[in-house]
Order: sequence, then structure tokens, then C-alpha cells
Amino acid sequence: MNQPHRVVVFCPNPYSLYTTAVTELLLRQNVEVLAIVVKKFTLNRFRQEFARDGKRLLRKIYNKLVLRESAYQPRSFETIVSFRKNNQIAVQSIHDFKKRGIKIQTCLDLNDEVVLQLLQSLQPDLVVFTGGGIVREKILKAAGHGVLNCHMGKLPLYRGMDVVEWPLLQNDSNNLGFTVHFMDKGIDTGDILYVESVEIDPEIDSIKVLREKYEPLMTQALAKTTVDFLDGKIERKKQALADGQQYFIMHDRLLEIANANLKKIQNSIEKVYLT
Amino acid sequence: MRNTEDLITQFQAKIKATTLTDEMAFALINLESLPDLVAINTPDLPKYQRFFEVSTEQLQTLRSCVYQKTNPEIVEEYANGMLRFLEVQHPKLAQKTRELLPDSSKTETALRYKMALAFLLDFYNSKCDIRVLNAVLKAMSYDWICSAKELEAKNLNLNSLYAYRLLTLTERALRQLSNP
Repeated sequence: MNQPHRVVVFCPNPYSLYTTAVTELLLRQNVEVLAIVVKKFTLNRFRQEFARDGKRLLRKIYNKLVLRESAYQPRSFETIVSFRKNNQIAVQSIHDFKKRGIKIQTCLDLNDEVVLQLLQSLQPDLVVFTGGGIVREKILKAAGHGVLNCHMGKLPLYRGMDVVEWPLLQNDSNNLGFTVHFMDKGIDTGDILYVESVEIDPEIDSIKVLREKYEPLMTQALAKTTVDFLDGKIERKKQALADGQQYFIMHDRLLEIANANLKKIQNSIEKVYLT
Repeated sequence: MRNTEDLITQFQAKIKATTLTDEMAFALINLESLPDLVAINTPDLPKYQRFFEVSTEQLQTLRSCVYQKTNPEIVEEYANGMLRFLEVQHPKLAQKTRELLPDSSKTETALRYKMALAFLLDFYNSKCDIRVLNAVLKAMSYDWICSAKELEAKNLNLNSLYAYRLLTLTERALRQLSNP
């Protein structure tokens, strides 16, 4: 019998629904998760992230750490909450994985020496990234095949931030989707493994709800692509960077227009359903 | 508090009652019912290096290039470089500016930013790259760079004229995006 694939998971916070679901799916596919590396939430980290976009950070903390599963309403499509329920994923915190022999490593930053030493000692086949910030080259090099990320936009078209919002603003909703790719020293410029489109359902009336549709799809894609790549079923594909652009956090006034464009699409879908 | 649209309308009356210098007119170029600008001296445009190494003369040259559709590659290189600076530095723009321009007065700093944003808005109008409009809007969210209150100034000055241009054009761009 083949040796199981060995991975390390990078994680933004101990209670991430995304991290715990991805880790659980990997374990179910007989992947050996050697360790989960989690960033400590410090005052300094809060300050840095607050300076970047304070309003968004507070909303994120409230939704992801306070409301958690209750932030999600029942939908006609699968959300991360219903996906977890449908797949009997009950694990609530990465610390629950300790019982299954997985090492939990905390760090102030994913690029800390302690993380480098951990990777050098464990020698994983690859690292699965579920959040936690920028990963520097020394970590990328110590991560076996590399660090695998699921980016919320279609690459190479939409690199960077708010890549659900930008296609909507640019009336390019056909290019809503996500990409599983290897991280490199650029922003979302690494080799691509898998791209999937996401369609707007009649029920989706805001970008917040649209993002809910992405989460379970990305969870499944990241876990499946990890295994498929390690099984040799898929190959890395270089990005044609000239085919896309890097995007940044969207200003609120433009965000209003992107949301309005989404409503227009939703209305047109509803009309098609009615006729 | 009066809204931006009202302040813009009142400011237009002030402009009409004033004789503008070429420099002032350049701030307003290409807006309806305003004087066209005479050609300006155009210094060379070296390869883009850093945001604050772009002189005010070069910014005017870049704007002329946009209008005259000349040097498209170098104009794009400057626009992309400046866009990147504004976006990457956005959360700490005030601190970064103080570090890079320690001797510049508040008025000079604000004017310098406004001239850069005026170029970027011209570039946006020619290329329709919404990322550029986004960077301009985000920079304008800092009152020390551009504020609608500047339109309440009793006397016209370059800062208020550039503020008028930026506010007018960003509002227009947002209207056009909302109702294409």
C-alpha cells in the first residue's frame, strides 16, 4: 500500500469553519495532517489589520468569532454550515484535532523561525493554506511541493483583494469563480491547479450572500485538489500574468455599485424564472 | 451639512467670476464651460521610480500626454506605479508621506497629491480602468488630501480648484458607472 500523503495546514484562527472543514476532508481522504499552524491573535496583529480596513475587520471578527454558524441563514444552496452538517463535520476548533494526534503550533506570524523549523523537521509533501497572511519565500521553499491556496477569484484574471466584488463592478459576472493554486512570492501569481466558476442563484441578493456560496465549494475544491495533485492526477499550469490584473480593496462607493449590479443580475434571473 | 453636489455648484459660480491663470486653468482642464489650457512646456519623462519623485511639471506633462494620446506606454507605467503606491501605502499614507516629504507644508502636500490624482483621473477617463478610480477615491477619503470643505474657501486657490476637479469628476464617474 502507498504511503499516505503528509501535509501541514496553515490556519488564520483556531475556530475557522473553513480550516476545520478542509482538515477534516483531508483526514477522510487518508491524508496525514502532521500539524496545524495557527496565528495568535495579538494586539499588534489587530492594530495592523485594523489600519488596513477597520470596519471590515470588526465585521469579520463579529461574524467569524462571535456569531460563527449563526451568522448563516438557511439557503437554497449549500453554505459552509449546511455543508458541514450534511457531511457530519462536527469539529469546532483546531484544538479538537489534538486528540487525533495532530500537532497544533501557534505563531505570531507564519514566517516565524518556529514555523520554518517545524516544516524542516516534518518535511511535509505540501502545505495547505487556509488563511493567515503573506507567506515568505523561505517558508514556501520549506513546504515540499509548495503552499496550496484557494483564491476567491478566477486566475489569472483576478489577482489580489475583493475579487468577488471586482467582476461584478466590471459587469464580468461570467468570471466569478475561484482558483486552487500554489503560492509564490507574488500576489496570487503562482501555478494554477484548478479553476471553478460560480454562478449567481436567484436567491443571491448581496455580495455577502454570494460569498456564502463560495465557501463550501472552495472547501471541497481545496481538499480534493490537494489529494489529486499528490496522487499525480493534475499538473501545475503556469499563469499568463498579462491576461489579468491585481486588484485592491474596493472603496465603499464602488462596492455599492457592485452590489447594485448583482441585484440587476438577480432580477434578470428571476425574470427568466418567471417567464 | 451641505452635500458635495451643492458645494460643487456654488464653486462653479466662483470660478466664472474669476480670471484664471494658465496654472489654474490646468487644474480645471476639460471641464465644461471652462477655459482650455494652452500647451505647457513638457519636460522629459524618465522611467517611473517612486511616487514622490514625480515632479509637478511631470504630472502636468503626463496629463498632457493623456489628452494628446502620446507616450501611452510611459503614461501607463506611471499610472500603474502611482496606483500601486497609493494602494499599498493606503493604510499608512499620512505616516509614509511625513517620512518621504518631511519639509513639505500641509498645503503643498495636499496639492501634490491632488495633482497626482488629477493625472490618475484623466488616465481613468481615457482607459476606463476602474482600479485607478478606486485608488483615487480611497486617497480622497483622507481629508488632508482632498475635502469638499475646500470648496468653501473664500478665494480661489490651486488646492480648491483641484479639489473641485477631483470631486466633480469622481462624482461623474460614479454616476456613469451606476447608469452605464
